Amino acid sequence: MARDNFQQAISELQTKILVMGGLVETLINKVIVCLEKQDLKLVEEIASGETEVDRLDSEITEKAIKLIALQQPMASDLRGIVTSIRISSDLERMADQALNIAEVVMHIGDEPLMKPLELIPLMAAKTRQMVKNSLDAFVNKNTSLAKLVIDRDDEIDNLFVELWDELIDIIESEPHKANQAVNLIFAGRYLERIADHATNISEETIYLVKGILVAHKDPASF
Amino acid sequence: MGIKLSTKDLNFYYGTVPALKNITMTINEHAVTALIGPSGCGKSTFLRCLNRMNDLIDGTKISGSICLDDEDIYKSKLDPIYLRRQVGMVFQKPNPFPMSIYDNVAYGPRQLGIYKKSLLDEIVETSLTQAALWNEVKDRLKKSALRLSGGQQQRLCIARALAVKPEVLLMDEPASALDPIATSKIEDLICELKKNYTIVIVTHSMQQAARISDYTAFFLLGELIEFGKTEEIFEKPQDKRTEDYITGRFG
Repeated sequence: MARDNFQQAISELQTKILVMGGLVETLINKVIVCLEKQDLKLVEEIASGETEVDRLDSEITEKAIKLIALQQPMASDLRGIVTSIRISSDLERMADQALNIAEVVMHIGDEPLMKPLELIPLMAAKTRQMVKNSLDAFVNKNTSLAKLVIDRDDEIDNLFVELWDELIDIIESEPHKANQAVNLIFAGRYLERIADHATNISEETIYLVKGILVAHKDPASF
Repeated sequence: MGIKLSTKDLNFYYGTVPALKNITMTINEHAVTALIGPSGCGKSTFLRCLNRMNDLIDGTKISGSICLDDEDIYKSKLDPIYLRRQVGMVFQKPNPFPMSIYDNVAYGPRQLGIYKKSLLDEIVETSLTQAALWNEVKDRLKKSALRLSGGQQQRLCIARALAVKPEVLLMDEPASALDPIATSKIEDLICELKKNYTIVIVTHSMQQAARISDYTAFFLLGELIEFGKTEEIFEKPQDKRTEDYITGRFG
């Protein structure tokens, strides 16, 4: 094997992505507990986790730019490095959205929930699974699993529309619940965005393996 | 974009040693086609077949066909000297003749019987302009070409090749002996020249092939492993051997 140092550097880049992915998964798990149990103690942990994800994103981006500048990567090496930059950016946004959900919990505070949460935990469970599957697909270069994640994005979108309708009805009929309802709409919206980023990671994985850019294309075409 | 050159089942031997094996490939006109591959893979041999430069080497044998437009350059009664006028060549090391800048460029046209001064002046100016050298040498055309820098000498060699109005320009690592600035001028020039000429270039620099060529052919051990649009070869090659070579994993 030639260019050992370069290969080692690419491998380290991917390891950092995995570390970052693990951290983001943990953050999402924590924020779901934080939301469902209104556990404000977790907010600080989520904030510090988000800071660590930001730091890793900067580190990965800097390393990747250096590799492009100094090594002029080609073919799968090029795709690997470009993919690392993009996935790192997606993970960084997912961590932001996890923190945004924690902030929603802070806004709601210890005010009792207007009704037991149903759609949000369902969205959260599906989103968590999408995130896990997208990272597994990336690690194992599994394009079938990546495609499965892309296909499931619509489910989350539909659940969000359902949540939106339900909460708007409540706002209209019981205006005094508007504050909490709006916060819960935001929480749903952030979960839906996290699922979008999991979809992006899956699209990047397909590009990494097959060299085909699939974003904005009909899943049936790839 | 039409096909300018095409080879079919091209085999070439140095004595009994095969250097090219069944190469079937097309070269589009007004495009730059880069030939890449490790040393000894046959890319320069292939390039030299395209204007029968290999005829000058004893003990070589060729089979298959090479067509320039629709004419088989080996089977027809085409004079190799005339062919080399249509298919010019620029070599790795600049090789200006030990004469003035003007005479270097006028050398080919004079060989073709052009002696009228005004016509020669026009050819020299046009060729030097096309080679992006005119502005640098127009005030010292009678000075020795050997006093030019390496990069200028190489552009002079390109001007000399253009002076006989070729249709195809073959370039064998034309920038490998030059510094980055001179290399960049040659690369810009190649991109400009393709508007009027068909260019085939052998290069060891993958980045150069990626920067300037429209099509890339990867050779290995005398075989054409992969040929396609440059962006596809460098972003998603189909053959693992191409992938291994361009990512530097060979060996």
